Amino acid sequence: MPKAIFTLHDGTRHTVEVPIGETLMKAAVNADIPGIAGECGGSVSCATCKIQIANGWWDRLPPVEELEESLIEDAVPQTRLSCRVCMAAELDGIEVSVPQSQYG
Amino acid sequence: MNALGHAPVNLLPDHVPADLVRPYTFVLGNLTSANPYDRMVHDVHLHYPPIFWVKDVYPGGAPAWVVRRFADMRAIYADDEHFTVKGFAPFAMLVGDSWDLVPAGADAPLHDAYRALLNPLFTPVALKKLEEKVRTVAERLVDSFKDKGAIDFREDFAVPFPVSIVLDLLDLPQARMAEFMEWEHSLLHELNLASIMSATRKVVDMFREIIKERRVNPGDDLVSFAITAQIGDRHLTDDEIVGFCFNLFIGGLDTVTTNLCWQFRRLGEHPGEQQALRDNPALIPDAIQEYLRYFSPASTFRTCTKEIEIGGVTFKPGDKVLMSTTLGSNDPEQFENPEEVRFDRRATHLAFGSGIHHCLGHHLARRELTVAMQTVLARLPEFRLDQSAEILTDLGGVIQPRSVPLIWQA
Ligand code: HEM
Ligand code: FES
Repeated sequence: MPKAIFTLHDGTRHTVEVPIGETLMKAAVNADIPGIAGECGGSVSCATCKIQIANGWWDRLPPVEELEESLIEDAVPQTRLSCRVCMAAELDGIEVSVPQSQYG
Repeated sequence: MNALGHAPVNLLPDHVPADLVRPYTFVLGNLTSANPYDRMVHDVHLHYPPIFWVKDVYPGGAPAWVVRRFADMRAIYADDEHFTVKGFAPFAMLVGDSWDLVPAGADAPLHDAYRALLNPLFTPVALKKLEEKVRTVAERLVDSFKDKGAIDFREDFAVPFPVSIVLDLLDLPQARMAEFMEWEHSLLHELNLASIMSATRKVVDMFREIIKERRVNPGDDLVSFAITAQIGDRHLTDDEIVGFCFNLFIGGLDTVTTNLCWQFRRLGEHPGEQQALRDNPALIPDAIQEYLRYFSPASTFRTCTKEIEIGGVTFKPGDKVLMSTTLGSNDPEQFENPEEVRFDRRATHLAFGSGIHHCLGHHLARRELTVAMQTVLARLPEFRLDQSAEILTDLGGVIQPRSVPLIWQA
């Protein structure tokens, strides 16, 4: 199964198996990755599922749509909402980091 | 008979074991002169089973399961196969109307369509144009009392502040403030059925009138937006627009008021926390995240639609479920020493619910709370809670102090 690698704020790395088509948010929540809250369950409202995409992977993702953009405008560069990133064959091994806080 | 006209049900359904039936203090009508966050909230976790049955806790005095654990609540919020939001808000029914709250009263897939329409209106970017107004309202309110040296923070700030902002969202004159506040009080804090009905009627009539007027004179407000908005190839009906306005009214006022009351009461009782935020206002967002957890105000309701077992308890179709975010956000299995306020916790909590009904207004609520705290701390000298005053606190529907007497050297 394809994998995603989450690096936490403290530097620890967690490798999570993500079925094709499943969002990184759902996989992270199921795997209890600290720091990914996913409060709205993926309805693109809460912005508590932010991840920063590592160099080299950013360009492989589908473009950011307007609603997502309006939730991450103030976040660090290369931020995506993990509920808007679906696993695909070409994303196997994707590296992302989790912010220290999803709030404020 | 209680406020909403149901006779209390005393017969226990067969699937409810007698040892899970518990008395419960957090019901509409109960009052305390203690601070319920000192012990009462935490005592439920210490002494009660994870899921218990309360005979009169559902709006209208009906029985319901109470779920107190964070993990169980998250699971139920996510489970639309076994639970529905339908049929909890009694307001329309009370006055013989047929509208539902929008989006709170809708299940998927209609609910998804509503949120797809509404989410863009409530993002931080969309709210930027409101930011200035929020700040101005906060400053105006604080300036009106800053020389007094003593106020009831509830009456003088916590109630009018969110009302003023919702008036703005709906583009209604601020002159309607007193009326709004009175109706809100009757809807959410009265036990008397006749006053709840009459307030509901007045609020609905007002919204129907505004809709009529905005059809002729559209503007840049939420009602005008709702009139022109489309779901697929249809417009929203008048009932849907009323349901949306009503949802803002009952969702966006008292919740903010309650949090403001508790946050400022807390700061008045904990000079150390107040000083920390004065010394370093950059801590304010973290503090608000923690206070939202500590003082999560909302009670949320679901009805079981398909039999399911959770933690050994059987839920049957028709069973009502109360999920108190106050309890879920203070669950000791989820939060280490939940009775302690820790600004660096940055924890995920249930103040805004979870899953598809996660609060539509949460970005706005956080803005309001942040601006309120920044403004009050910047414009008032150190304040204390007036310890000589007795403070009565309502224990249901929301846990809210009836007054927050603050004093300072003016
Ligand atoms: C601190 C303040 C607030 C708190 C604690 C709060 C809490 C909540 C909670 C717990 C829910 C979920 C209800 C459920 O699952 O049954 C909810 C939903 C909702 N809230 Fe808030 N709320 C706040 C402020 C606001 C504001 C300012 C607005 C609008 C101006 C608002 C509008 C709504 C709406 C429309 C819903 C229904 C969402 C849906 O069903 O999809 N809330 N809120
Ligand atoms: S889970 Fe809420 S925006 Fe992604």
